[in-house]
Amino acid sequence: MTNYYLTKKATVLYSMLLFLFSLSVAAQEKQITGVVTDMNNTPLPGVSVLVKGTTTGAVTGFDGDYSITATPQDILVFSYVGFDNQEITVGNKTSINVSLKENIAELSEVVLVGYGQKSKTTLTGSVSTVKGEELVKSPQPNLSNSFAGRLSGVVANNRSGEPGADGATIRIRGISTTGDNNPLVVIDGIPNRLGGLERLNPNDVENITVLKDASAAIYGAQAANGVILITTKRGKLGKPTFSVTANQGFSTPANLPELADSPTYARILNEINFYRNPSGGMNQIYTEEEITLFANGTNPDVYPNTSWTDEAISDWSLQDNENVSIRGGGENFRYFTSLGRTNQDGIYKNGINNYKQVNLRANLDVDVTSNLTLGVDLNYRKEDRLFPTRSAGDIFRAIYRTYPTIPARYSNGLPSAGVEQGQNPIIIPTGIPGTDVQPTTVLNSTITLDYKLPIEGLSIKGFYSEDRSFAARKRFAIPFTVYQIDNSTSPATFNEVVAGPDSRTPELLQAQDNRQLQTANIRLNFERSFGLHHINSFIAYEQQESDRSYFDAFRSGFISAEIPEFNLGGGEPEQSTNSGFSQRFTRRNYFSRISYDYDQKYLAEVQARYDGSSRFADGNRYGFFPSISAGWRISAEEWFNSENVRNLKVKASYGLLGNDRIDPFQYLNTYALRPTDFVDPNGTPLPIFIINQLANPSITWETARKLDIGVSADLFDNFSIELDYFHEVRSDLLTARSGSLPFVSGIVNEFGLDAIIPQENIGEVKNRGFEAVLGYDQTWGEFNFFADANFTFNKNEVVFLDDPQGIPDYQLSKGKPLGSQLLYEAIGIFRTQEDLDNNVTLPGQQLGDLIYRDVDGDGEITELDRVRQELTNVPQIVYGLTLGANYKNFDLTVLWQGQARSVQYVAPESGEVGNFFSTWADNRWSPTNPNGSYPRVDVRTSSSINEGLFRNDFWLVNTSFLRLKNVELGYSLPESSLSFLGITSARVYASGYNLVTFTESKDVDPEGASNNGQFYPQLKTYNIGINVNF
Amino acid sequence: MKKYIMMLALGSLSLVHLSCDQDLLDVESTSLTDQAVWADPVLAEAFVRGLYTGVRLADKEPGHNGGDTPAGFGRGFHWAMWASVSDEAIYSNDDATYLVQRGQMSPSNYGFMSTTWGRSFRNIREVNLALSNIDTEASPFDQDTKDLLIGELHFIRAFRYFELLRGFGEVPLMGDEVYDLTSNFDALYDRKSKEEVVAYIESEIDQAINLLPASNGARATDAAAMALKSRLLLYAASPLFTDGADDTAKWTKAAQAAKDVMDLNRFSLVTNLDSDPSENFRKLFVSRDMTSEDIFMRFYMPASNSGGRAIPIERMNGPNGSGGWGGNCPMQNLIDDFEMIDGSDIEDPGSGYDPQDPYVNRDPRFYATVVYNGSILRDRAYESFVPNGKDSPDGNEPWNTSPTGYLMRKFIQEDITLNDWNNMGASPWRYFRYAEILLNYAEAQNEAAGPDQSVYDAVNAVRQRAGMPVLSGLTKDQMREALQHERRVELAYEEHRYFDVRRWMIAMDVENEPAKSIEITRAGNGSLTYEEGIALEGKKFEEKHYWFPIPLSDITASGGKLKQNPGY
Repeated sequence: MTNYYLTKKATVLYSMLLFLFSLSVAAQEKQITGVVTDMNNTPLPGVSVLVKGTTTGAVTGFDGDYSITATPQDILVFSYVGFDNQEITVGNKTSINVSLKENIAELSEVVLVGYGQKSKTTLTGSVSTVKGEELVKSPQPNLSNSFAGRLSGVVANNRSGEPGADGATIRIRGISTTGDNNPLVVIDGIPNRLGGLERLNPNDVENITVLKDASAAIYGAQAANGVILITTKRGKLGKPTFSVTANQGFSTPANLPELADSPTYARILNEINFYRNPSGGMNQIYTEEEITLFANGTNPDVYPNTSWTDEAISDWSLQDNENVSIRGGGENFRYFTSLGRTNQDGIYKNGINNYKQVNLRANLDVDVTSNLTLGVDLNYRKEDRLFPTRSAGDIFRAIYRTYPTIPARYSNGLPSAGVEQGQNPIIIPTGIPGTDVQPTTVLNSTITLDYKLPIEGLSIKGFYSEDRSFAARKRFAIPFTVYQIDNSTSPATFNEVVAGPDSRTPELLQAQDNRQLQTANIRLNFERSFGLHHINSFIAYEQQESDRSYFDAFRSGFISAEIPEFNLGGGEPEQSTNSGFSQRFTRRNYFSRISYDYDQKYLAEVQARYDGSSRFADGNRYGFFPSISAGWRISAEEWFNSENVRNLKVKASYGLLGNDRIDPFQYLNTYALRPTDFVDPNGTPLPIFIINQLANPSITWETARKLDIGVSADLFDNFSIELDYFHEVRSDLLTARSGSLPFVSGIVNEFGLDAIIPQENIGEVKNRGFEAVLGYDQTWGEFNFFADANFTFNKNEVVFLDDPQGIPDYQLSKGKPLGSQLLYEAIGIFRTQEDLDNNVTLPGQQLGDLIYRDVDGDGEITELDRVRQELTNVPQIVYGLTLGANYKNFDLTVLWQGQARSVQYVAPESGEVGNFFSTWADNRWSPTNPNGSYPRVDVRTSSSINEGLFRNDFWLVNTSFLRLKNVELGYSLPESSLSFLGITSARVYASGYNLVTFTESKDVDPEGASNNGQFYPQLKTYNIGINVNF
Repeated sequence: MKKYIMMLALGSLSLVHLSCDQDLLDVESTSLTDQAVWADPVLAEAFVRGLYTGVRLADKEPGHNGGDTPAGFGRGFHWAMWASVSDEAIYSNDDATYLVQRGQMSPSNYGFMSTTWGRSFRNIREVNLALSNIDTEASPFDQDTKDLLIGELHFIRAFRYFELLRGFGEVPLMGDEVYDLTSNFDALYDRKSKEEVVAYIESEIDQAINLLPASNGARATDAAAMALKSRLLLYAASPLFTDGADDTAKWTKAAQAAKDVMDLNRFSLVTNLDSDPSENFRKLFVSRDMTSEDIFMRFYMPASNSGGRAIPIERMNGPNGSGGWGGNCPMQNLIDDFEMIDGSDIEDPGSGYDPQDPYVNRDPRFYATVVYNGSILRDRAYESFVPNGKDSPDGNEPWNTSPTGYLMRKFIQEDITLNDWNNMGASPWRYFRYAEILLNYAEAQNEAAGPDQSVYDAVNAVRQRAGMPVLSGLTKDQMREALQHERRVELAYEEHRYFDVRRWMIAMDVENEPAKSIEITRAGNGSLTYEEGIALEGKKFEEKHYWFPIPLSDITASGGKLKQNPGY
């Protein structure tokens, strides 16, 4: 195979398809060879050598050598990223050695932008980036948990630590809509890639870039929430590098609440009954003798004192991951391949919760000819999730609710029944009640072609990608037996309580959720310099089709729990159900960008995108999303010369972006089937139809107008600084009307089910804030120190959200952050009869209850006394501080991370229905503790006058925190000590994640988002690892 | 290799090219839309059938959700029943019933009662939507199908308005309009007088009676519509609805409406289920089939795993000692109102009532309605005594102990275990049964014409079936009192009492009685001592509680145009 032949064929091919041009076949050809080096005479592999004005080219090999055919009239162009181009006329030479000169400006950092990359110098948008090597510093099984603190402008809250379901909620510059606030994730150029970012192997990640401002407008109708661009590693010219990494982690909950012990809980039950029936005295349930028995533990079957967190949660759980990658490249072939596995165990004692992953990636690049590059990317991932049959929420509900006055096991070893239906927390996380297996397979494949046209600066790039994901579920729930003591007999008897599935027979649920995504893209690029003018532009077309099909089937009545297969389930009609649905969604987009700079001094960029989305009715489908940005590198001006200020740049961007993340077909009236909601006299269930969705024929995307003004500079020798002010107005916000839509209209949503009221483009929300990024780097001899700090403040404010007419100002959502709650204001606790006399009381209020502020002063506590809160659980301030140091072979990185101005409502499910967090139990008001800081105890929080009936700000917890997110100490083994093994480098390290947290949120982790604290806690992890390259 | 690359290149580019056809964005909805539903009588019928059910608007309400059962008319069987916001029962788990019992409800905090407002208007709008598509020339359905569905839709609309009327009094009338998002709602903020609402409902019922058949499965029949009319007109003639005026014409009309049902000669009181009148009465309410007494009813399935059509009333209302949740526990106030077997009141001298042996020789319906200490439920005696009673606070799961010392027996299937969610009693809810019609007639006729023979015939039929002696020789006022008492014991737990005491305007008395319980102490020798206690402190009723509060959110949404009920 000769280059010539290939070149010709490829050229003919493209000429057929796209352009017509003539192929010049010149005479007097001769072979030219040579070596390309840098200024230090180090050979440069991968340098492109092109015969000017033709498509004939070659690439230098390992030793910088090349060979090319040319005529004496030809000019050879040598180009290499980071170096100035050199042109040499062939003449009579047969050997041409070249030494390339480094280009300082170009060498500076390259930043990803949508559909391309830019040098940081000429960047006009506002972006945050983090490199792959940073992300592997706290080996997290879920990549989204490595975002916090590392990226300015990005809020990443980890709401749950459950293996397999521990993704962080990522918000870019806060939230702007009542709907979906998730940013668009683009992986290797493909938006909405199946499998998402969470389970990407951090070792595969080259770079993560977040587009925070109007620069995201190149993603049009999907870009309003910001865009996260992720690139995976690719091959590099050079000898193969084998890299082996292994990590072993030890996890424990970062925070668990203290719970009341038996004597305390026994007294609380007595108090509850006293409040219900004051004439009965303080020992209506337990006598003082019994309380003593709880305390001294002499009869643990009848008077136990159980710590359910100790019983149910193990001290340590394990996680580990191993990864092997090979990276390298030859003359016209570069490769990166990796194979990794991850294993993460849940924190329950004897629990089955586990996450296992195997991932395999091959990113290959082939220089088919000197001007045609072919990329083939394949990614396969198997995600095996294993859950107990009860959700983490249910399990933690059981742990926090189950009374300390119930033993985990009786002294004869039999497990107790716990509360309600045998939900014993030492049983339900185990395999005894069955298993819930959820394997997911993800396949991503892309073929990319990059063809340099024989016109200088013009190239065509296109890709086609096919993604598939297959998520299955097999939940087999089996009845199990727990025991309840009966003391009326002697000796006591232990009655069986059968718990588990509703049918009290084994039940199998099996589901399959298949998705596919096809993306095709073609782009014509033009990049060229004309003197000091430099233009980089493209015009592109992209389309995307996504399909999803789901079905599930259920069978009960299995005669045995041995084999979970459908053919063994019960045969009665009511023992089986099936359901399923399918969805299709398509997009078609046209877009373009023109970037211009003059001498890297004056920068400008225009982007435009014309987006079509099948989510909307014909006529409302296409939208136009333009953006513009400009920058001025003041320090590049000749008159500017300061030793202390370099790279001073001011920039600004403004653009229109869209958000179309809504349920499709809201422009139609739709109906839903409920197959069994009506019963005939003969007992046959009959189907009914209900209104599922009222039509909003004019529904369309939300629009965001984003403005960003920034300045960046390097100061003195060691500092860098970046400041941004940003402003966003989200209008046409899609929200369902509520306040102005009375029940009498008959347009009424069902409680707890999908709303029938369609979304309308009626809302408006404003976001404003600023970001600061500071860097510091200093080396003293062998000691290097660096620090990177970032700080983001963002405040959002509702401009319009259909508040009901006539409600008082302090209840309007207008002017308050999105999602802020309406709560009563607790201003104290009734401690004396005087308090009751001097304050507005509710019927039934007594000493120990919360005092609510009569906000409207009408002498009654009504709904009109609720006040819209200033804060939500989306923090207004997030910050991070990375400190690092290297000394000889040691390296240390410390990441502090935090948030401020955020609150979370936490009202535990306590009372006769469940145990209490100690914060409440130990500080409760009671007749004997009239100074208690918490209200008196009640039958159940959710129906208490102090909480559920009057949700109030007493239960708001300030969830500001400062967290030692990550510490890593590494030691690189001296090279010489290992070279005899063929090892080029080896590093061992120990790290810790979520090590220390300073916060006022005592009971549950401040990142939790549960109103009752019942969630799987965030984890603290200690890790040791090794990385070897050879 | 070369060919492969070529094909690849060609392929990827032509894929982009080929799929540039214009219909890429034309994706069909995978849901049912208007065109389908109103063109296919099977789908339209399923939609109309769905209007016999209602939606959940608050937690702990009936509604479609997993294994739960959707609301029908009224509330029917659910966790807390209507009985537990009246002087019939106290609900062991509160669920916002206590605030009603204590007179604490407000426009923003009203328990389950005021959700009738939103649920009914949603249903009425959907009736209008169906009518606007079926009751037209353009509808492709044949005339019989149309007539049947239109008749049912008028019945449903009447029933929903009746529920609004009995709860809120004056209510807006929506007419036939199908309101949508962009409509002007001002007309809906105008609450019409009770007379106007009654007249509208009556005309709706009359249209339904004309179109409905005599037999229609679990769906409306002509007799169901006539029974609704009887109830409507009885309410309309009652003091609360006439603002205290005694309007003989209205009573006469109400009596006639009941008489019309009686004259159908289709229905009779059930006597053939057991020779023991008490057992006969009990078995009527656990009969899963339509009996000769049943006019209109709602059916349930015994399993929860296949959709929303089962409700575990056995577990909900069962004894804590067997894993039950206590549930809707009859108050001592109701117990005391069951007469002795000879027809005497327990307070009558010579009634033979012994407060220390209170459960002997009572109205047979007592034994069919209530579980009391010592009565056999399933395979053991109910033990509410202390100390160590299995179903007392000393027993299992003390928080599920009955707060009154009694449990509900009516509707409970006793062969149902409490620990199997797929095996529930599935007793039907009886919306209208003949005994009510007889009592409606007796009451209206007594008010219109005094206690004539037809009044005695009607009420005595009910008493005799129950195994109680007949009434005789009463004045009009005595008869009124006797009938009020008769409804209390005959129709206990059937969603009448709450509204009856209001329409009679006796609630200020009876709803301000303390909510009483029985407290039984067992001595070492096994002897029992009975003492009255308080099941729930703070029972209270005020004038404003004759009507439900209208949800505050509607008052604010209307910008104050919608007027709240007085006192709230």
